[in-house]
Amino acid sequence: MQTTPETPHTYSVPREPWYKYGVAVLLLEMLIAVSVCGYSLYLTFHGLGGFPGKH
Amino acid sequence: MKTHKVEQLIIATFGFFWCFLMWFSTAAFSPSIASHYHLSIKALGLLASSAIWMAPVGRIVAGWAADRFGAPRTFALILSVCGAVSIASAFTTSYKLLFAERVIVAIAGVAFVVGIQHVAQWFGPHEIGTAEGLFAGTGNVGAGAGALVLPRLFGTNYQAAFLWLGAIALVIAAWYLVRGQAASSAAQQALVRKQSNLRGTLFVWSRYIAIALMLAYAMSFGLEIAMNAWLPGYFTRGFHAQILALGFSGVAGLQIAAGTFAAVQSFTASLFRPFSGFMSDLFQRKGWTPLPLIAKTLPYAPRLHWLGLSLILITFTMGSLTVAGLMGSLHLSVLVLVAMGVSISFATGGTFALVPLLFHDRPGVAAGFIGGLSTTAGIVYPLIFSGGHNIHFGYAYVALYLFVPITLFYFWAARYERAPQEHGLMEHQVLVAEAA
Repeated sequence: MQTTPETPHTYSVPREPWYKYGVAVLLLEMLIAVSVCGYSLYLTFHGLGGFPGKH
Repeated sequence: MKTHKVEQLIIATFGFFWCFLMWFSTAAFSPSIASHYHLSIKALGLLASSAIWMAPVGRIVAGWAADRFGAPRTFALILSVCGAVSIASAFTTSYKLLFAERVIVAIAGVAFVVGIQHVAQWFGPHEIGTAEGLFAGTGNVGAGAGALVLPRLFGTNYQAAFLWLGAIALVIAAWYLVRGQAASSAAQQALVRKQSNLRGTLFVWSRYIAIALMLAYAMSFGLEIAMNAWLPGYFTRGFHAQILALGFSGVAGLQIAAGTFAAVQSFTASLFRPFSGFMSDLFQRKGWTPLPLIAKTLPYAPRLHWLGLSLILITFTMGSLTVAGLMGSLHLSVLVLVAMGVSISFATGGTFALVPLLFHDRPGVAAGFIGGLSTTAGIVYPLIFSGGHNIHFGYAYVALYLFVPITLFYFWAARYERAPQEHGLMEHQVLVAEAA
């Protein structure tokens, strides 16, 4: 990946305390997305039902 | 009043979540409404499409109002009007009146640009991607949550659902008014208010970079809502034999399987959106500028590159969907749809990580233009998808004839190394008017 360290956008701002909780929430949301998709696709590809869980 | 930007983010996100819940609550109960009023398929289709009617113009007005009057007042007004009409719709016995009331409730969908403006007024350039991503991604879940939760909670009693949704909207409106604050400083609020005039609106609408971002959002969010409407029918027709081979039979079985495959795109596009904001922040922090042509020295140049990569990914996945369809591979098509949902989320999150930075003195007007006009794309794509002689070719056509030109235009508009927002249609006249 090309980087340009001398350019003005490469500033270093210390992260505020809220940021780590924000990242935790977004990771949780991604986990939910992957889990729901995986589960519902598993059901569907096995002819068992599908989203949102109708059997 | 003492507050913190995280409190403002939570208020905006919760308000937006509830607005999306109300926006799509009509669709969640459309079978019950159809059965209650003995609606035809045509009438049902009209009811379903009515949800989007108010979005393009409504978002433009709402964005301007957020700049002019502040996000808390604008958001509270949207919540209280939609909430009150939702309550009224719970007691309506005439279908015509119910239809009109639900069109008004669908105005709730314009709250997106108000929240974008509100969050932009509180978070700094180094964290705006994650903040806007958390707001938009989490709020968007309201649409999916409505489809999942409301019918389970209320069964066929849509009247009770509309009553509760409206009543809680009124409570959130009061919360927004009491605890919401328009901006982190009075000076910032005054600057934005001052710029929210017709001249400011024309300025934003005529900028190449604003038009490029609007088209990028049409290519991502527009595609997302178009696919929501299109995909169930696509899988039912394009993979009929494959779905039957999985063990599904009858219309209900096909509907469940096709709906599941379609939901994959919608779910990933919504829930990966905060991650895209985080990635935009990461590009910014690391100073990554891998693409040719796009500016490399602007203070937010890495964010422009992140959006450029996302647009390329969307175009690529569209072509791949055609290839998977022509191969007749249901598994591969679903896999490509997952990639498409993620790519869409990258672009939607990437777009609104840029808007407040490019138009920091007119965030609401810019968000209204970019987030409003782009929704009309949701009507255009399905027409192209269904227009070809082969149902699988539509994606490649859209990619080749719309997405490649849009991506090239974006690269062209984002090439300026100094103030890209100063370049646009009638450049000289607009800049003279701005200076006056």
